[in-house]
Amino acid sequence: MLVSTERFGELDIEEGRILTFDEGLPGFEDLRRFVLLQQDETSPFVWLQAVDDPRLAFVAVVPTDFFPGYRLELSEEDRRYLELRRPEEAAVFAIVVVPDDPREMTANLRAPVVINPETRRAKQVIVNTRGYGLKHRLLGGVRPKRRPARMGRGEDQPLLSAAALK
Amino acid sequence: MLVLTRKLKESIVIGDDIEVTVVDVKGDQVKLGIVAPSHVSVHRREVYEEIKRENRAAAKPRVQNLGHLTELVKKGRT
Repeated sequence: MLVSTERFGELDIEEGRILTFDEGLPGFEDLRRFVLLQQDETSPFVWLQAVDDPRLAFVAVVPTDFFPGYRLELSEEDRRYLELRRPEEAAVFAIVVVPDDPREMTANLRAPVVINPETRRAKQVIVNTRGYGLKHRLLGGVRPKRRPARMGRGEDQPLLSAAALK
Repeated sequence: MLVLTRKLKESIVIGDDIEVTVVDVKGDQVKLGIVAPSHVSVHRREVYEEIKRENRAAAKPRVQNLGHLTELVKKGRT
C-alpha cells in the first residue's frame, strides 16, 4: 500500500509490515498504524512512521544497542494483549527525543514500543523497572543502574532488530 | 466528572467489564484495586501524562535524516 510521508515522499509498503497499535500511542491515540523504516542498515536509528499522518515519525532505537543490560519486564496483561508466549519473542524499540543539540538526544526506556513480530500487534507499554526512566542519554550518559531481578528463559537471545521486521 | 462516594471495600463499575474497588484507606491515601480486560491500560494519571509529553517532544525530532545522528554515535564509539 502507498504510505505518504513528509520526509521520504510516497512509499510502497507491504501490508504485512504495518504495525497495529489498537490504542495508538500516548499523545497520539488516534494513530493506530505505523511502519518501521530503516534507511541505513549500519545505523542503530530507525524511523517509526505513522501511516495515517505523513508528518509524524519518531526516531527509535533498539535499547540493547545502547544499553546492553536492558531487559523488558512485560506485565502479564501486556504479554497477553500482545499475544506473546514469552516476552523474549517481542521486538522492542525505544523512542528517541532529538533536541536542538542532537548530542543531547535521549531514549525513553520507561515506555518502550513492544511489537509482536508475527502478528505485528504493537503497544507502547509502561514498565515499572526501577532505573528505567523517560530520558536516557544515548551519548556519554549514565547507564541505567539496575537489571531487572527476574530473568526468564532465553535471556541470552538478542532482542529482534528492525531488520527482522522488514 | 462523575463523583461517587464509596466506603472501604465498595466498588464502582465502568462500562461492562471494568471494576474499581477501594481496597484500603490510610489517612489521605486510597488504595484502589482495578479489574479490567487485558487490552485496557490502567496507570497512575501522572505516569501516562509524562509519557504523552515525552512522545510529543519526540514527535518533533530536530533532524531531517538520521545520517547525522549515526555519525555522532559512530564518533562516540571510536
